[in-house]
Amino acid sequence: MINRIYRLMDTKRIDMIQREIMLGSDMILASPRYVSVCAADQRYYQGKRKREIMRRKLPMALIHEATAAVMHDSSGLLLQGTAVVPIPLLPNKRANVKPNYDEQSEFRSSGRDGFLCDYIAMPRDGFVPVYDDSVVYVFSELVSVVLNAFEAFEQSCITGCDSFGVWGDGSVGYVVCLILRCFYPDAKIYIFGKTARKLHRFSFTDAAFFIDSIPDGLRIDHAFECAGGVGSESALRQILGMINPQGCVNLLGVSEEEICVNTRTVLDKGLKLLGSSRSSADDFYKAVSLIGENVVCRRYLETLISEVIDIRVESDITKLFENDLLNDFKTIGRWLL
Amino acid sequence: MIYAAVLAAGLGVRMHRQDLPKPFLALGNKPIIIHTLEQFYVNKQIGHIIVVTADTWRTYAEDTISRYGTMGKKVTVIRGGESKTESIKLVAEYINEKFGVSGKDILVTHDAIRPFVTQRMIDENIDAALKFGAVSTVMTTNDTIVVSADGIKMREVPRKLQMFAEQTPQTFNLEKLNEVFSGAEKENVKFGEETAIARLFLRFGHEIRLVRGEYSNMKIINPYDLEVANALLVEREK
Repeated sequence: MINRIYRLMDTKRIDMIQREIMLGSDMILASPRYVSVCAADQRYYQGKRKREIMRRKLPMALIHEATAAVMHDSSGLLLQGTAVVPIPLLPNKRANVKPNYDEQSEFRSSGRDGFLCDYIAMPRDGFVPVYDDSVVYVFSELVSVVLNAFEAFEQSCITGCDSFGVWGDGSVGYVVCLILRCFYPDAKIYIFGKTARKLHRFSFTDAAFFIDSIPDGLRIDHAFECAGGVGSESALRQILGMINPQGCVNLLGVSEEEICVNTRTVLDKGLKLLGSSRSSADDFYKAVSLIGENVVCRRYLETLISEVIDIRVESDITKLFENDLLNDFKTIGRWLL
Repeated sequence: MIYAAVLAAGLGVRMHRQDLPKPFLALGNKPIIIHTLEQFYVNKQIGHIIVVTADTWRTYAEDTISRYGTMGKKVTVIRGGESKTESIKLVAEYINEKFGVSGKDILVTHDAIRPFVTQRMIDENIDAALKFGAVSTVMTTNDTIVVSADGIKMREVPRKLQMFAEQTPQTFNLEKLNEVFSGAEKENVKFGEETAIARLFLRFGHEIRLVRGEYSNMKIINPYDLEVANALLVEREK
């Protein structure tokens, strides 16, 4: 089977290449329906990763957030046209290590080609069937990452959960606040950010604060750092100042550079710093259930779409990434190639 | 019903001193025709595929297709004609005889030696044929096209913006296709000599809509094309 893969060759340059797929008997062939740009993809596209990493990983197809339609399942279990979400993690199965943290696991659009291709061919357990063919399931990956972080948090939390602070008014911060609202309906949820029009969108939180005008005396039980980049350091500084003793600081923001952390405060308050990244198949199943069954959550997720771009020709892929730079939240591509 | 005809009847000039017709030569790990057929196997809209080969190669084609599996699609191999148009006529006759034809029946025809066809091209062909009755896949040309009756003296240089190179798929409403063939028979058109079916459609006053092809939708005609096609599929060292 000949596949067309759209690879990032160099900064802002995407070329189509053709490769043969050998379909095994346990594999499913699916075609992308919707793709969504993640900040990690954008860092590659703009060449913001370190030069050595760019050299090592490119050429590589980007995108790890997608929905797809089954084209062929040799087992016949999934009918042609069935809506699915592809899982970007190619897990190394090992006891006692969650596959998304296993160093031998691979991740699509980070070392392996992502979902910018005509056909996604993976083993059957690499796809999760979804409830309907709505675009909103394109956020399954994002929700699954947040659910993975929540699992880690709930396993480590030893204090009350009356108040949460979330730093970062982007898409990750939005989904964290939303899931917090679903899981802790009575807790106080505060969002901290920099951009007024983005903060206005967090209508389901109890309060939104600019990071340069936080009220004195405001305290939180636990925090989620979703700012990423250079903002991670200042966000962490504020978190350590405001968090109650023995709270959990959940780190979800990715920083390309090393950042300073005031470990004295971490020690003084007995804090837990929990790193969370990516997600596994279990998290995807939970994410799909949440999106499929929680109508309110789904409605809020639908508003996370800033723009939908029809991808009919190769140059539309570039447009997808370029427009994403102008959008406050998620830029979605409808795959028509 | 939407039918696909994969046209593999042309014997043409042999490549690489092999006796096999071109569609059966290897591209990557499989014969060219299998790559082509796989694009039609996974298309949800297509119900039945008819492969047209030279009579001598019918059983070989059946063996090859069955060895690689058809992903659950119904595939029939029939004898082709001397020209592409004649082969399409034989496919239309086969469908008329075996299944009958109703108003919305569509035939997607495609060269077996164009394995880089995409789902977009197939789907856009079907959609346009359902609306307009006849569709061809074309690309703008990079070269300027000139007209010469004898290959010695240039007669005309048509405007480049109006020139397109025709690829396949070409897709037709089957009732219209039958109409065109019976009209052509009445006018004693020799199908063995007529290679452009689109010309027949235009001759009988039918409109043909255009769908955008791809430069990559190349036809593997000669050893150079096969070399290029094979090179395209190879992963190079980083």
